Amino acid sequence: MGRASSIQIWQYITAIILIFVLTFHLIERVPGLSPLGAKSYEESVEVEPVKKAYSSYGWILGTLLIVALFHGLNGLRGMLLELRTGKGWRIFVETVIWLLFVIFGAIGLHTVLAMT
Amino acid sequence: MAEELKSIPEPPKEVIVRVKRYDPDKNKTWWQEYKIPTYRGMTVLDALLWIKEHLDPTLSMRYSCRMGVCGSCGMLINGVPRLACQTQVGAVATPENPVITVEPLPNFPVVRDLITDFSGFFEKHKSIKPYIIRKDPKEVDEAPREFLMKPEELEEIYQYTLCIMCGLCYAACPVAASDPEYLGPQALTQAYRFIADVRDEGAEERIVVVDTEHGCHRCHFAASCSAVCPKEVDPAAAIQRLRRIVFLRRLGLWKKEKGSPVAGPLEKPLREVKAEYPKHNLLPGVDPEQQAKEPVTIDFREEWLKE
Ligand code: SF4
Ligand code: SF4
Ligand code: FES
Repeated sequence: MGRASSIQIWQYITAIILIFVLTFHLIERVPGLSPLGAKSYEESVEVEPVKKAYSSYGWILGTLLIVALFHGLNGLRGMLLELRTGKGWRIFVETVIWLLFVIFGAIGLHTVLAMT
Repeated sequence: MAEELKSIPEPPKEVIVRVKRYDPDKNKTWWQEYKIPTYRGMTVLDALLWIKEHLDPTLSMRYSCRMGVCGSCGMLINGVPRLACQTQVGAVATPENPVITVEPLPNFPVVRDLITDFSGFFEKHKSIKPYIIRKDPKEVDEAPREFLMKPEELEEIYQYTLCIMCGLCYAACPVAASDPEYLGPQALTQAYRFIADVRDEGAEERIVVVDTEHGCHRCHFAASCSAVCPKEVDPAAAIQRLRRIVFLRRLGLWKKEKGSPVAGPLEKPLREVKAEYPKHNLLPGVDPEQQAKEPVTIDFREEWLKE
C-alpha cells in the first residue's frame, strides 16, 4: 500500500482544480457573465447554447467530469474503508472504485467528445 | 473537563448510580442500580468505592492515584468519557435527575464491569516511537548533559507532554469507533509532539507509521477528542499540524527546525551551592554536616509496628 499522503495530495490537487472548473461551469448560468452569451438562466440551459458550449470549451467540461469523478469517488473510497478494515475489503473497494471511475469517465468523455 | 470546585453545586442527598456490568465468565452484560448517600466533594470514583465497600464487593473498576494523574479511572459517565476521580457527583447529578450512568469506555474491549483492555491502545502509542531519537544514538544513551531547548521551543510542544494516556480521547473518537486499526488521537498527538520537538531527529521513522490509511489522514477533525481531554491537550489540533507536516514533506517543502545541540561541559559551575541549615529548626544534638557524610540509620522499634 502506498503512502496515504499520495492519495491525499491528489485529493487536494483535484479540489483546487475543481474550484476553477466548477466556478466556470456555474458562471455559464449567470446572465451577463455567461460565456454562452445567455441573456437569462433559462436560455443558458437550452439545448443549442449547451451544445455550443461543448464544441467551444469541451475540454473544460471534460476536466470537470474527470476531476469531480476522481474527487468524489476518492471520498467514497475513504468512507467505505472506514466502515470495515482488512486487506480483502480494501482490494474489493479499490477495484469497485476504479471500475466506476473508468466506466463513468468513459461514458462522460464519450458524451463530451461527441459534442465537440 | 475538570470542573472548578467552587462552581460545582451541592450533590443531591442521595443518588442512584446505574452501572453497566459485564461478567466475562458468563459472557453476560446487564445494568445494575445502587442507591447511595452523598457528601459535598464526593467524586464518581468515591461513589463507586462506597458501593464496593458497603453494597457490592464484586463491582470492578480500575483506579490508582485518585487525583487525575495516572489516567486509570477513565469511564463513560452520563455518556461522556471522563476520569471518575475528577468528576464530582454534584456536577453530573441534580435533585431533579439524581441518576448517574457509568459505563466502560467505548472503543476498548471490556475486561470486566468498568475495566477495559488498554493493550492495543498502548501498542499504538508505542508504534510511534514516543521517545527522543537522535541520528547518533550515543547522544541519548551516553549523554553527558541535557539537550538544549529554548523556552519558546518547549512551549510549542508543552501541552502535548501533559498527556496521561487515559484514553478518553480515543473513547470519544468516532473514527476509532469505526476503524479499530486507526492509530487514534493519543498516538497521533504524541507523534506530533516528538516530531515537533527540536531535540528529536526521528521524524522520518514516525512519518512512515502515521502516513498510512489508518494514520493521520483518517481523522475527520470532529475534535471530540479535544473536548473530553482532562488535561486540556488538543489532539485534534496536533493531528492537523501533523497532517500539514506529512503533506509538506511529501512536496519536499518541510524542513525540521535545526536540531538542538547537547549542552557542552560547563567551564565553571553556574553557581556554588552552599547548604545552610536553619540551626533553630534542628533538634538538639543533630549535626547536619555529619548526617550528610554518614548514612542515616533509623532505629525501628517493634512496638511501633503494634500500634
Ligand atoms: S490526549 Fe488527553 S484524553 Fe487523550 S489520552 Fe492524553 S490526556 Fe487522555
Ligand atoms: S479530531 Fe480526529 S482524532 Fe479527534 S475525535 Fe475527531 S476524528 Fe478522532
Ligand atoms: S485514579 Fe488516577 S486519574 Fe483517576
